[in-house]
Amino acid sequence: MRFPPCRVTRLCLLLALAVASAAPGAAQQSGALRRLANYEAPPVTLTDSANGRVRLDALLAEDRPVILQFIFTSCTTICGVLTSTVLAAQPELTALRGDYAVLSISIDPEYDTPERLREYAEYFPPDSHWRLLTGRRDDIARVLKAFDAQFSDGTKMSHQAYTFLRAAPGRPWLRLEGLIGCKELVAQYKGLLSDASHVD
Amino acid sequence: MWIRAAAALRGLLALVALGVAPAPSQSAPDAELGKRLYLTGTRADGAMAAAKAEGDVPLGGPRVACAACHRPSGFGSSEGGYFTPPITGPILFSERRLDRARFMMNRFGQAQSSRLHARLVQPHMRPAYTTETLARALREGVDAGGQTLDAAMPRYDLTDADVADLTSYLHSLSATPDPGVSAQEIHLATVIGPEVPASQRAAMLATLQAYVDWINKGVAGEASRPGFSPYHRNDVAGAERRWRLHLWELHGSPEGWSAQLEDYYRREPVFALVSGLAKGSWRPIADFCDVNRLPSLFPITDQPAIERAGSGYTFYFSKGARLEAEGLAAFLASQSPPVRLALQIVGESGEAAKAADDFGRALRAKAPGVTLIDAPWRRGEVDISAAGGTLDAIVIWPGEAEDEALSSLIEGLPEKVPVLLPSDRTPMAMHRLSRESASRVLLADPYELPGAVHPLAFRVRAWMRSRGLDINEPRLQFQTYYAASLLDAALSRLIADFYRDYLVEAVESEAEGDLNPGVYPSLVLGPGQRFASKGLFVVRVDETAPDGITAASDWITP
Repeated sequence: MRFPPCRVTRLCLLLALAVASAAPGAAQQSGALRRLANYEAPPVTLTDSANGRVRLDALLAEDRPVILQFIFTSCTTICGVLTSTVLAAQPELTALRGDYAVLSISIDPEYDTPERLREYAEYFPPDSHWRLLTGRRDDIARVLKAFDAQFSDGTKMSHQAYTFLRAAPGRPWLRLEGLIGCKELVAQYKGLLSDASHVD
Repeated sequence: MWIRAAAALRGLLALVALGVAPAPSQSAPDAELGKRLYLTGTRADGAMAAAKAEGDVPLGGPRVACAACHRPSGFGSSEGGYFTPPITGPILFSERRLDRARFMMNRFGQAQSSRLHARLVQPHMRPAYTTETLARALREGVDAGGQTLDAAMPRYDLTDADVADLTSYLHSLSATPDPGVSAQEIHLATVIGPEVPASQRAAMLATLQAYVDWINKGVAGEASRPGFSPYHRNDVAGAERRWRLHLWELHGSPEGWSAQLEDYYRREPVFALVSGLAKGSWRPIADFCDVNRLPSLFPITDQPAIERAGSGYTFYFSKGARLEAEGLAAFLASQSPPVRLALQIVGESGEAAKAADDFGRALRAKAPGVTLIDAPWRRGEVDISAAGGTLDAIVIWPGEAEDEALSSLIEGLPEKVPVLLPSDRTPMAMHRLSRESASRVLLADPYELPGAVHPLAFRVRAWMRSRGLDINEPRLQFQTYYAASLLDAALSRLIADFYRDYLVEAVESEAEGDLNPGVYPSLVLGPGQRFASKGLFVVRVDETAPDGITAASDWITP
């Protein structure tokens, strides 16, 4: 087996790390990593699954809570779970505040045409809060950069399971890294709304 | 239900034939039903399996299938920081052993998060699975060693019979290496059809052979110094194989190609096809590959077998002629002021008729308000009076018409009306048309624009020159290089697990890496994707541009 040249350097650098991290007692991560951050959506125009044109910055300026995820429709592993989590939590999320938006933004925009986004949506329960977005490759790259969600080696297979939540425009984003269950998502969403109401 | 009943009947008949009394209410496990459950998530009774991930997240549709994460090969996957381990028959039903070769690739051969790496360096040891412990893993998420599986592994609601069917299938999953690989060599073939221009044939074969020679020199170098590295290389040294390239040349009409391919394959089975060149439809070759489950990497064709491609074994650069038809339709549909009346001139060949169909369908979908009139072009004659109004655009699908006839046709069309053409007529537009006519021609261009910088292009050109290759068909040679280098990268992922489904999955994953030598703006695949480049430019002739053309549109992905 020959490692591609670009990987050999990485191999050497990481070998020492592997030894270090293999030490007894190293705990396996579980649950999602949680962090508050401020992100500013770029002024890009995306396309939704109904072929509608959408300015992302304008959409995110609307006065409602937002749950945003990056997915791609041919993903066979984490994207389906990410989407399922938000949609399955719909009754609880709606009970907390009915007017919220769920955005699934494709990170494989050339494959994920509006038609393909519609096909992807067919496998999930219908949810009027949910909007699937795609766009030009460069514009999607700008959105990923704005949310500090670029892939570590430039390939979508190394994308992470991010869920971004925000209570209202001007409020910080809660960035969750890792797959979570519905209960945990609802708890995080509830906490975020509660924090926002205290500030207001 | 009938499938289950039929399986039970087959099992009963088998037992009766053996003179064995069947156990009451117990049907024999059915590997075919297990396969269906594994690949699609469909249970024996025809219902989709119910499953929850992350404790309370119900999964639906194809995502409930085992193959979604563990992949059709059973060798697993890694994505988004989540490592899905291999569950092939030999692995699942054996005690877990640490395999440094597999570990090295998963650990270092991909960029992944610390979560994944932490998971990899703390493998849970476990005994071999049995039907009972597999049932517990599937239902309760407890592995054969009694440890709790990651919450990302769904917990399933399955009957005992479902688990028995699945167990039966998993025993056979990637249990026997696929043909085409010996202890020393990987056999590969490239297909060349009849009537391919000699210069293209020679350029493609020379490039491919240079790559094979380069691989084999590397393998020989590794083999000449066993024990050179006390670390990882010793673990994977046994996976090194020389490449042996076979030329499968086709003769006669496409109806006879299948038999010729079967004959080649019977004489020397190969592990994969790489590159390839043929005029006309690639379908007979793609069908052969699908029947034999033979991966085929990036033949150079403008007529790929598009239908069923997603579940097929052939990877293409693009959708070829259909991409151009749909791309030009998207371009026309986006014009402002909007196009109201367009004429489509259709040549005599089947290719031209097909392109016209694709174009018409795409235009009606994207711009229902456009009136599109078809005008057949027969024996050099075309009647455009049927359009009956002020034309906004003329699209020509010349098929196999001579350039001379096409240029004469264009010169005689109404002045100032834009004329849209497929990409293979770019040289004609640049060199045969009058300046006035050339100025109104717009051409599909599915390739990278001249002047775009791709760092790898310089390296690949230098690689070719240093091997004494004449670069007289640069696009075709760079396409061939990409096919070979992606095969190289994908085979590296396999280590010594020479299974074709696993190769397909490795190609899907590796295509998006840093291998694009610049013929296309980007080459990207994903699970189930078979067309790496998905868009095109529309260009116009520009005498002032260094390469004679300039972009008339952004990148269009129809």
